[in-house]
Amino acid sequence: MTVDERVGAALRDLAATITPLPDPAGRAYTRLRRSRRRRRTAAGFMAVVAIVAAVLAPHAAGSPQRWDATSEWTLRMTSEPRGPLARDAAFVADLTWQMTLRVRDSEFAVLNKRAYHAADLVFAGDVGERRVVLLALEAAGSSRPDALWLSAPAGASAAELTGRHGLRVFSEGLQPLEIGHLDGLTIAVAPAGCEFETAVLPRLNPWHPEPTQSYLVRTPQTALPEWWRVECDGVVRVERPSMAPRSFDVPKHIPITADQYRAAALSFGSEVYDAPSVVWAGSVPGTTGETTVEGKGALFSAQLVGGFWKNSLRILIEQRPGGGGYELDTQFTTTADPADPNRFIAVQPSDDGQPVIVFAPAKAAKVRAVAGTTRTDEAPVAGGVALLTSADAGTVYEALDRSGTVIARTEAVTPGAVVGRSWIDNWDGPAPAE
Amino acid sequence: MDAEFREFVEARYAELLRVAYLLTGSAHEAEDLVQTALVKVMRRWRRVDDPMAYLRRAMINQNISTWRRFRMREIVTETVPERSHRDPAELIAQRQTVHAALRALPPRMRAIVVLRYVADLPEAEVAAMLGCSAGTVKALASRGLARLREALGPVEVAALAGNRGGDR
Repeated sequence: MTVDERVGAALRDLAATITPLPDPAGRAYTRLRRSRRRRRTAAGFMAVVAIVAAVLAPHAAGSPQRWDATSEWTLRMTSEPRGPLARDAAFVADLTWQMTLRVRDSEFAVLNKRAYHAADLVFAGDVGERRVVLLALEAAGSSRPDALWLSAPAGASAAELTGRHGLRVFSEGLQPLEIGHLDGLTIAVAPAGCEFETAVLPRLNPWHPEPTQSYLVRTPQTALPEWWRVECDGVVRVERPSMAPRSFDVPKHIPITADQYRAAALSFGSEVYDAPSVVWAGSVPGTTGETTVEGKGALFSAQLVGGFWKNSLRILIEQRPGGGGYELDTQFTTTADPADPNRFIAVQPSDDGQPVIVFAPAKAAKVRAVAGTTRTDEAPVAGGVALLTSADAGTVYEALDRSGTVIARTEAVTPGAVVGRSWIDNWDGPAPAE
Repeated sequence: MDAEFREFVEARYAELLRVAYLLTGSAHEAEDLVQTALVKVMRRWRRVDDPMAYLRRAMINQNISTWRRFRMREIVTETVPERSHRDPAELIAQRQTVHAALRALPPRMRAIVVLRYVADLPEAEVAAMLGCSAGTVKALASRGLARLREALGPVEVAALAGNRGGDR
């Protein structure tokens, strides 16, 4: 055998270690259908060479391959840089060099006390007035990189971006849907090959594909009340309200200050149709036992998709003596409009013994708590609200008019519970075979 | 088309995958490369006389363009992931040496080496596939082999060849 024949034999020996995944023709048909459906080539370019170890070792041992959600999505997140600047070879080369230098000098290690050995470029682009970059920092011994967003004025050099004067936003563990909030901008990056679709409220149909495909950018000017959907290989992995912050104009003639309104409105984001309204403002009466919710309060409300309402009850509680205070913010959803005069809402800010705050119907004179057949508490309605003692699960709250007739019944809402259209957040499991 | 295409894929997929693996250096990338090429040939199945030649050409063109896109990123990786793989078997280590040496070749030269010495295609066919002259193929193949020999050394080459029973 000549040396050249031996080289050929060595190469064939190397290639012989590779084993096809099941049903190659079926997978090709699936890919063709997707390609036609989306009018694009579904070329999810996977993996750097590390996959060899993951693939060869199980085959050598004769064991079946196992689908690992974290590593699969991580590979797809880092497989190719996205964004308007990703194809700027000069910039990427410069950035790559700067990243190499800073990784070598352990500059990023201070972020999470980890020794990073590499930084992959995930996203690069000029967004609005800023130049934004997302890096995946890889640490030895960890299959999941950390995320580092960098921001500098648009047109900044790679050195300025990666330098200490640029804005850095670090988060432990790169997410399959990685979202950066920088300088009012929102950039969401999904794994390569996935596609963003958005639906502008109030309807969630039709969904429109984002022209940028696997990433999405929103500026304060382009943030809309909308939902986002991420589809990967024909499977919807995410469907939820937009995560881009949205600012609202302060309505005229509100019973609170503009600053109070802005602070409350921030938490409503882009998942509601319109700016939240102040459906109630006034004093929350008295204390019950050891705890207090006494203070100036306001109830904010805005409609969600599906005919439900997102609410925020904020109470400024002043502590005595010594002054000072804090704001108690309780968010909850209701199936009825809190602005309806007949609404009857009982909300317990927390389950650690705090009282239940009741927003009573307009005609209610008093409210009471009933556990089974036992009346456990009763209180008059003042200014539309009343306070009842904390009660066990299953307690029913009744509103009574001046004649003592029960005009409404309700149960306490659960703070933080989500009602309405279900969100999807599912990165587990591979795409099912078609 | 369905039955004919499936039969073709069943018969030739492993061979295509091996070529793709040598071109890309990654099992996962190889699967992706072959699948992408298969989708291309499916669209023209009735009009393609020699599917294997078409697929090889599609894989090579795709791989060369893809590799260019990824070169920049490889700079930042201080340790090539495969090299950190610790397999107790000496054979695995030797295969990694071959793997690393092959990856060090420029993509066009790597394609010519794979097509000439693994797919056993004649120079003229490789030249037609890559759109160059037979002389270019001969020169690049020779230089590619020389670089592989240099990288591997006589011991590794002999050991690897010796592990293949049919080649003894």
